[in-house]
Amino acid sequence: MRSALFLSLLLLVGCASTKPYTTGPIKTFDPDDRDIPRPDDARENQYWDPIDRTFFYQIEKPLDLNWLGRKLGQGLGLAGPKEAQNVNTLDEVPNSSWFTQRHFYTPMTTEALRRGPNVTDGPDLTAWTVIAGKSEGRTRGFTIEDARGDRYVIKFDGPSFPELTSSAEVITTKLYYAAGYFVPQNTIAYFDPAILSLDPEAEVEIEGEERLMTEADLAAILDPQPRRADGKVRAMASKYVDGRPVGVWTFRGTRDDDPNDRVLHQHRRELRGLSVLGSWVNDPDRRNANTLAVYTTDVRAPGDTARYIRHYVLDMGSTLGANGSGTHVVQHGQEYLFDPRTMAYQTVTLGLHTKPWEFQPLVAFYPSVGYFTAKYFEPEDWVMVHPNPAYEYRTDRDGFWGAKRVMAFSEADIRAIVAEGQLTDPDAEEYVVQTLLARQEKIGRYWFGRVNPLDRFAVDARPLASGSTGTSRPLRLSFDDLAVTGGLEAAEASRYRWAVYYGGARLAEGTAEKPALDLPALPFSADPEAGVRHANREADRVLRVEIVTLRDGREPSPKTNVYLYFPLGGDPRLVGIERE
Amino acid sequence: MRPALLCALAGLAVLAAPARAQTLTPVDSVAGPVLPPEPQDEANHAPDPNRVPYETETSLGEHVLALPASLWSGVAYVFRSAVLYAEYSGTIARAERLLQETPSVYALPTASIGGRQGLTGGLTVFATERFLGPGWSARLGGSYSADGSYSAFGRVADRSALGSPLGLALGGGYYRDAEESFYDIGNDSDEERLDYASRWGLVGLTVELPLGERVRLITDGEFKHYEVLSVDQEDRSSPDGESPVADVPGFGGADFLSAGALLTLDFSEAGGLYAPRTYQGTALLLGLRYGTDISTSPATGALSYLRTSAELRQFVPVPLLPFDRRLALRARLERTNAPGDDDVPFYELSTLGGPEDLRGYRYDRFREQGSLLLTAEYRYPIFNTFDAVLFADAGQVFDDLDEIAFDRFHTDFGGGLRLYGGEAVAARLEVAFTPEGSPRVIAAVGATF
Repeated sequence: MRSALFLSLLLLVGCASTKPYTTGPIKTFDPDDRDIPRPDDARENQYWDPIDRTFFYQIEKPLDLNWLGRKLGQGLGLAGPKEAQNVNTLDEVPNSSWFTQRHFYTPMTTEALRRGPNVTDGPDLTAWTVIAGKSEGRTRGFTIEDARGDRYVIKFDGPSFPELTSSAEVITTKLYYAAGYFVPQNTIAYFDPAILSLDPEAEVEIEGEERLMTEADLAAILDPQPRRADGKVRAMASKYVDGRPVGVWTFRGTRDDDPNDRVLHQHRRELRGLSVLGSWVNDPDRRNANTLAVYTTDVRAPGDTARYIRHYVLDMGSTLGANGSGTHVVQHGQEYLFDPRTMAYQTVTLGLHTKPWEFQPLVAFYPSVGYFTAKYFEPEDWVMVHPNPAYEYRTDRDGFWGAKRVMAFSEADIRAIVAEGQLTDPDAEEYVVQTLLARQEKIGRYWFGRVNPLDRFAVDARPLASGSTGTSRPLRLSFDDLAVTGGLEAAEASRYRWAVYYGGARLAEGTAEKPALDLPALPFSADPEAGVRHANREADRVLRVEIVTLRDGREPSPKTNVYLYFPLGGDPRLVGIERE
Repeated sequence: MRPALLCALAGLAVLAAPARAQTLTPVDSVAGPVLPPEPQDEANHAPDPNRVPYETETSLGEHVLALPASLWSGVAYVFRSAVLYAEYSGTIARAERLLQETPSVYALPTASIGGRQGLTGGLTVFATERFLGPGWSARLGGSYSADGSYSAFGRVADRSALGSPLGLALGGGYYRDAEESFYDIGNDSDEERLDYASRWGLVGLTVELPLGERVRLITDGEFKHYEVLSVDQEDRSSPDGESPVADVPGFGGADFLSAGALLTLDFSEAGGLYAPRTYQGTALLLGLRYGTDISTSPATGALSYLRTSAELRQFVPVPLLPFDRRLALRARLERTNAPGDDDVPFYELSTLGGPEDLRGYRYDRFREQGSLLLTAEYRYPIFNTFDAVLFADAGQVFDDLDEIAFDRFHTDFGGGLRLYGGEAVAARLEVAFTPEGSPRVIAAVGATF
């Protein structure tokens, strides 16, 4: 009885199966931007989330028998991991209120990368009215309204680490934007304190209670800041996003008052994959409080206005080497701040289990860069300071998805974006570039080793060669080997073993020296004029091409299945990618 | 395919998430089906996928299997409400500020297990220089134990007396031990013991003189009135009963005037990322103390003592491991004599046993004129502010240095956890084992070596 129950449990959580291709159009947009009533504000918190993720959520997971059954099933080889639920048949994330395809399929120009989300050059620097203060939290600052009427949150570097937090925030903002996320317009601004005036109704929150902000409060924020030779103060200006903020979004569950929010956030690929981008820029503080849900108004046409929630990633001031107004320490990104399992393991193993970074926990660094290194970075081991449910669900496919976005940045791209951080020490700037490149390479090597790194597939039917006796036109299936385009592997040391399947029958096979497969004549054709027989059902007009990448001297890669559909009277189309 | 197939076999399709397996039709030849009929393009009738939102589909079965987790979420909700209230009301912010900024006056509870009085709790109130003025500090506290023992104490200090580099402190207290154990004097005393009670009051002045960055001299003078009673006598107002052990000096009353000096040479290196751990180096502590009974009670005879002590501490990172895995070694030799024909009161003899030395043994388990203690600890971090520790202690008491021998050592071993806070160990929890009796649990607040 028990075994039957156990089997049922395994089956129950492991038997979801979907067709890996579609013969219809590929889904490129998830319509979660439908008009909804304005939701209530979801207030952020600083304490409960870490406590919940560290303790309560960790206990809750095994109590969810779906989770437990799947884990057991994985251990027994009966079930795979729970894959993301907002992925189309090309293994991609359609655009939505969370994510937009930007720099991977169609490379952005250098200028576009530099500009990022910005539509202005930053705040007007002639006159700022301080309308609210921020005297608590990890970074101090205030909110201003400039002469144009635009509102900005102004944040300052820690006095001991000039340029650190502001540069990190701007650089990571632009990287995240290019990767596809919604981020605020963040810019470095040097301003003359004389342009500041305090709004009589400006308030500041002290210990949970708001009161009118005073000149002394303003001075307390400004006085510790270093001045440039011309007397100006450096700050990071974050423009208010368009729309009405309605609090934070979470890395788990959905928002009850948002009818558009239908996919559990922990099962959204762009959130799972954000962990890989986070590991690149060492963003271990990516928690609910560092997000923003904005009730956005889209005027699509006269009389066609939709209001919906758009989901932003905020507060990149604890990335790269920065940790708020201070610096990261070696532990950040390496292990959770508090992990009872690690503590128990350390205790039982008598401290004999060691980690490389423990041998050199304190290192010298540029004050404007902080602690940011590739030396101890291992993509598979990178973690937040507190567990993140979406990151915990990450599968190899999610990781690959994130990694290919990381690898999409060329060295020139990275240099262009890092320059936006306006680090005055060129050596420090170069250090950031080199560290990003080194971490990028580690990410590529790891994730492209987990999944066959082929993408950007394209298929075309070539004209029949003269004298061909084939019964249909040959096909060419081309693609990018991301490990090669990313400079991780040599093209001449890479080959691609392929096989074409029609139903259960293998029709042809071969090995290609280049990422372009010339498939031979096929047993059927979509071309009625070809005078050959063809299938009468859509499913009978789908071919599967199985590709394995071979590198000299190494094990073959996992398989990638590419599905090609032959519509009647049209060109063959790529309709599915299935990664092992 | 395999999970879907198993689902079908198990007949669980109703509960399971929809299984939509690919249904490619195998062909028996490359020729394929024959024309006509004209194929129907199903895609033409499919809805535009860009108009159909993704949605997490949860079956009834999945809801059922998640029920235990849902119940747990209810528990979490209670805590969530409390934590959110504390944050939004500003309570946490105020508490954080309180911890970051030294307050004028604050109080800390104390608790210990395995010490002189067993389970003990107390409260100490601290007044800082924000309240008393630059350089000044004071504390006032008390404790109460499960066996009826109690104490009250106070201390006021000026770390730069009159603007000088000298630190001055004046302290005093009253202590009452309802039940202590006295074992026979000597290294081979058996486990039989007598119980006695004691109470004493003291007042003392301490002068601390820094002699350099790593060298300090601490001297003090103290007056202590001490009364030792049998447990039966303890409730009486006058301590004039007979000693429970006739030939052991010290039972009865005595007024001790004593002075001492402690020279510390600390060449150890502390610090670290989060917690103040000592990683490597050497520390030497040399102590000298003389006390005499100025009451000259006929009942007790002439009592005095001269105590000399030397303690060497060595901290060594373990080779091949990160430097925060380290050995802490300690050797302490102590000798207590009575000048001339005086006797040393039993409670001033050198002792071993208790949470500070031989941790597996009862408090003051061994007592004689001299003691030798060897301690070895392996300390390793398990968290920012937590160390785990494995330890072994060995010690013996003796009448003369010539008696020290390898086979006279009493030993124990054990392990525990240390919580670091502020500038020193804030708390520790240890379990120690010996051949003598059951394991002893030690929970204490305060620094260790």
